[in-house]
Order: sequence, then structure tokens, then C-alpha cells
Amino acid sequence: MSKIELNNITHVYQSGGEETVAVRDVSLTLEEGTSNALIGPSGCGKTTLLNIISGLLTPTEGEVLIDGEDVTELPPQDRDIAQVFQFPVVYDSMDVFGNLAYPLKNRGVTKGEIEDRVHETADLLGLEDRLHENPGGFGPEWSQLVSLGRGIIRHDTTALLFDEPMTDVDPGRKLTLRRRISQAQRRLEVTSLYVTHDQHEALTFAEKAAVMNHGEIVQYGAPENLYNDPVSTFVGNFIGSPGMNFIDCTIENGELKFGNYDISLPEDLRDKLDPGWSSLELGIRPNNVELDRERSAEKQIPAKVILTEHLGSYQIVTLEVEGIETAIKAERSLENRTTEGSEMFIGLDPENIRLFHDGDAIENGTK
Amino acid sequence: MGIEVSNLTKNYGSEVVLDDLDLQVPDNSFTSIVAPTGAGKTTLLRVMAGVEGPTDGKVYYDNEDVTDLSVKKRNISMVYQQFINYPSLTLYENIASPLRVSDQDISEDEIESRVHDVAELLNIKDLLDHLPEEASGGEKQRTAIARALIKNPRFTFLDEPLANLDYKLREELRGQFQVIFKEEQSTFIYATPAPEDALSMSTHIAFLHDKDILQFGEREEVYYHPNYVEVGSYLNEPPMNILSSELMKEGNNHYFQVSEDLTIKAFNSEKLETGKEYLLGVRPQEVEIGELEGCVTFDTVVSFNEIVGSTTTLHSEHKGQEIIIFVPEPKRRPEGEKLTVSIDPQMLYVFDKRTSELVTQGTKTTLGEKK
Repeated sequence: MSKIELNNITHVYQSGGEETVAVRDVSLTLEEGTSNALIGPSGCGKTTLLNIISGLLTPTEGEVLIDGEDVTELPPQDRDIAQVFQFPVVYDSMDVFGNLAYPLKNRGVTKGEIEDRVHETADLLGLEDRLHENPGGFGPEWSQLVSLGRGIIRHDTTALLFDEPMTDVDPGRKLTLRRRISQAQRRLEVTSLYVTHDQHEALTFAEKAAVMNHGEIVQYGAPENLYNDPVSTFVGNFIGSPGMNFIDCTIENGELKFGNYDISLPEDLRDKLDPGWSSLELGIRPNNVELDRERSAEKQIPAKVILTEHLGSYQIVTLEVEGIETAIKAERSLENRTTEGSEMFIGLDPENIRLFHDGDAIENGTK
Repeated sequence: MGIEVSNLTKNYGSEVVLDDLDLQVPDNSFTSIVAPTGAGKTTLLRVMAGVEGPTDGKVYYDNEDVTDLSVKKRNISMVYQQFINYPSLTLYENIASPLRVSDQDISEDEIESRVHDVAELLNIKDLLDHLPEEASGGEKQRTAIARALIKNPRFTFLDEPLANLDYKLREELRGQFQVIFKEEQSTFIYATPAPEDALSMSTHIAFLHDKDILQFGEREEVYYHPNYVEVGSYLNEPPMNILSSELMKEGNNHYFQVSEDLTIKAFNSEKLETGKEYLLGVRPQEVEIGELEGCVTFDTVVSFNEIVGSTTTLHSEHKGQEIIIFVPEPKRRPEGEKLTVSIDPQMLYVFDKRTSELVTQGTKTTLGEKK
């Protein structure tokens, strides 16, 4: 268990005289024993960053520290980092016991201790009953557990990296693997980084997730944090399903205007507006968009339902508001579900509004 | 009209994949075939489309027997999970290709206008001169869908088309499929393991289980009135909680005994038998944290948090039985924490444990059903 620090990492790929910057000046500290995720759309640079941590790549610039020691130039085998890959790696020439014991062989560990540790690891991962089976015939979810077991059986593992480990797992079997991976991490308190493009995987696993876009880490925080206080419209859209709504507004005398409507901002927010700005983006989460069939003091904005989606436990409603271009999405319980074509009134509580200028949050998002 | 599948059996060697299955896909419907991975959805789709023949049974299109008609002679299209495009052709030519190989003589002007219409519908009209390798996964799949739609097929078969897409694209295309469906006035047959895909887009749902269709009906009917515990449990996201219980009688009162600490007053007891075992279904969105009036309240212990983006699927345990709670925001609760939760008995579905059939359901289970 170790602390991992990335300091000003930049990585440039050269190909046919062309340069592509895959990672741009990334600094990130993974505290000892914590669970972390690196999440971003495909092509954002997360795999490059993962390979820099594991040692498969040496960054063009910057340094990687493990417990304060510079390992930037060290090959993977000298970093004692365990990795679970996208596609599971198991040896089908031996049983599960043999697979788990393998990393301890030739390391001066006694037979008795190997036995103890295999059982301890198998117990942690729910592999106890399958120790004498050949993993060659296992489905991907079981094979991944064997791969993970091989990674964590050594006690000198500095960190655990996951690279999209669910890729090959059936949707119906993901939960069990998700659960076992998380529980093993929490029990062992091993410093971990889980790389994925899927928010469900990332936010479930990690105490803190780093959101990456265009080679940069744009925000690093707890799931609640990323959801409630996104530092940019990118994070606001990327985290959450559906993402945050954004409405283009103009500012007139400290009031926000869009279409035929205006919203008075609370004083503390108003103070943060730069007098030089003439426009802003108003952000609001779909579950904070209040809807009613009747107009009221709080719900003044008439809107028409253009699409409804039953998402399995609640409804997402897409609404059209006269005078604004973007459709607004709102969450609604199934009991209060509505239908296409309905006329509704929208209320936006200033408390739940987030403001962005040129895509960046105006409030003090936690970066 | 529509598609009728009658007494369909499909074997691969000695393995029976579909067994004496009947299904009627209504004309102009968006029918989802829902089942977990490996249940035979793709096989059913392929046999309906004519890509494979059945071992036994018949397939009718608009009352005409097409069982032995080759797929080329059927006016259908298919969209697959993998994004299949011709790598050396531009997106324009990919989309136009079904018109070029068709027997009909279609003018270039007509082709151009149809490609543009369908590209507009799928939001790819700015990319038409690109090659597939220059397109993202979502754009490739949109191209494949556009190619399927361009010949205005009588039936469009979609085999998990969103499975390989990132969640942001899935979100977007789910909404768009509804728009496309309305626009096209074709009949869509859509195979998916994802309940939220089926529930958000379909007009009708066919639930495939144990080699046969266990329930078929309009979406609302299947969701609010699941005939079997398998259907009810699967068709909610997160899945419906299923609690084992026994019906007890004390004086004139009947109640379900779930654990020594949890008894729930029974309703419609004339349909129930004392001493018999029942499975009680309650949707995670109907389990409330805290004490609520008119509800039965009990304790659970938090076992796992799944943060799904905007929501949390909170797993907890009550006396060895799992209770899943839907929380409409991302919020992690410590594992091991004790929670007091409440369930309204009128929100329960009651299934026979032995036959798994629905016996009765609470009066509030249908709140939200379209009248």
C-alpha cells in the first residue's frame, strides 16, 4: 500500500512526423489505501495515463512517485503494481489454486504460508469452492476474480490498477464482480485506480474519481461532488444520466434572462458575476427541474412534453420551452408520469442552479 | 398483419434453444424481446428475419407463410450489436448501398434525396463524405441504422444495437429511436437484455424465458401486471425485490411472515392459502428510507452502494434477504449502517412460490399506469 503521485505528466505520441498530445500536464495524488477511478470518453488519454503509472510507458515529461520515490524510469516489474486487464489472464495449465499461488513461487515463501495465503485470498474473492477447478472453462467474471486474486496475493503490492475489467462480462453478471472487487479493495485497503469510460463502474468503485477530457484531468472528487458541483459543462453533462441541462442566458442588471423569462439570483451568486459578462450558461440537474400541471408562483415557465422515457424506476421527460433552443430534461416518478404532448409548467429553484461562463463553473467547484 | 411465429422450435445439434414458441408481433409496433444474455433472443430474431430456418414451426409475414422464403426475398433489414459498415466506402455510399444492389432501378437523384433524409433523421448528415474509420462508435452505429432504414423495410430487426455504445450515446439514441420509429411507420423488433431500453422505447414487450415467451403484451400491461415473478423481477431497473414469506393466520387476520421481525398484513386473502409460501415483490423505488405512516417498517443493514450517475442503487439486507432501495441521487451510505425502511403493503405483488405465478397485487401497484 503506497501513495502514488503524478507530477506534471505530459505524453506526446510521434507518428509520421505528426505529434499528438495524449496527456497534458496532469498532476494527481492517489493517497495510500484509497479507491480511485479515472473516467473519460474514449480517446481522452486515460489508457496512456494508466500505462505511465504501470510503467509500460515513460512519459515525455513529468514524474511518477511511489511513496516519494521517483519510479518514472522503472520498468513495470520493478514497481510491484498489480494490474487487472480488460480481458482476463488465467493459466489454464493449472487449477485456481495454482493460479493464485503462482506469484508467490520462487519468492522464498514457505509452502505452509502459500497455502494460508491462497485460502485467505480465495475466501476474500469467493473462490474458495472453486480452488481445484481449471479456470480455462470459467466465464469472464470468474476469470477476472482469478486475475485479481493473483494481483493481490502478494503483500508487497504497491497499487492495484484496473483497466476496463468489465468489458467482457455479461450485463447480468457484472454486479457480483463489481461487488467483490469493491469489497476486496476496502478490506485490503490497497491503493487502487480503476480506469473506465463507464460512470456506473467508476463511481461505484471509487471514493474519488478523476474525470479526464482531451488529455487533462478536469475534476477530481467524490461522486456526490462531481454530480453537485461540476467544474465545467463537460463534467456536468458527462456525469449523470441524463446529464445536466444547460440553458443559454443573458445577464441584465444582475438578473438572468432566457426566452421570455428571468430568474433572480441569490446575492452570493450575483456577487460572483463579472460585470464584463453579457451571457452565461445556466445548469440544472433533471431531478431538480420542478414540474407541475398547474402554474404557480414557483413554476411559471410553460413547456410542452416532446418525449417521455420510462427508465425502469422513474421517467425522464423532455420538454420544449418557447424561446429557448435546448430541450430541457426533467425526472419524474412513475406515479406522476406524464405523456407526450402534455402542457406543463417548469420551476427552477435558484438554490439548485449552477452557473457557467464559457463552459467553466462560476462557483468554486472542487478541482 | 405483422409477424406471426407459430410452434417455433430451434435446435442447435442436441441443444434446444427455442421450444414450441408462439408470438404475434403487431403491425406498426415497436416490440422488444427481453431476456438475459444467453436466453435465445438473437436466435429468435434471426429465425424471424429468415437468416436462419427453424427446426420446426412456421413464420408468417402479414399472414403469408415465409418460413422457406430466403432472407433476400424478404423486405426486411437488420441492425447488429457490432457496427457493420463497408470500410472502403464513405458513410454516404454505405447508407446508399442497399438501394444500389436492389432490383428496382432507382435514380441517383432519388438515392441522394433518400440518403439525405435518413442521414438527417440520424444526425449524421455532416459526416456523409467521411470513411467509417473516421467516425466514432456512435456514428458508425447510426450509419448502420441509416442503412437499415433506407429501403423502407416492412420489418426492421435490431439485435442489441446499443450494447457496444458508451452510456452517453445510449442515452441519446434511446430517445432518438422513439423519434425514428414514429417517423418511419415500420414495425421494429428489438432484442435487448436491458429493461430500461425495452421500457423506454417499446410499445410492446415479449419476455423470453426458458426457451419460450413467458409473457407478451403492451408495455404498460407487462410492467404493471407481470404474470410471473421472473417477469416482474426482471422488468425494473434496479430489479424488483423478491421476499420469501409464508402466509399465517391469527384469529381472522392473515399476514405474510417474512422474518421473525417482519410481518405484513395480507390483502385479498380469499386468493391465498394459510401455510403456503409466497414471494412478495416490491420495486426498489417503493422502498422508502425512514418511518412512513400506513407502511410496514423494518430494519435493514447496508451491504453495497452502486452509484449509477444520477441515482444510487442501495443494497441492504434484512435477515438474509436482500432489499434494494432506489435513491434518486448519488449518495453513498456506509456499509454496515443500520437503516429503517418502510414499504406500503398495497405496493406489493404476491407470487406463488411454487409456480411463480402472480396471485394478487396491491391496489397501489398500478399507480402511474396509463389509463
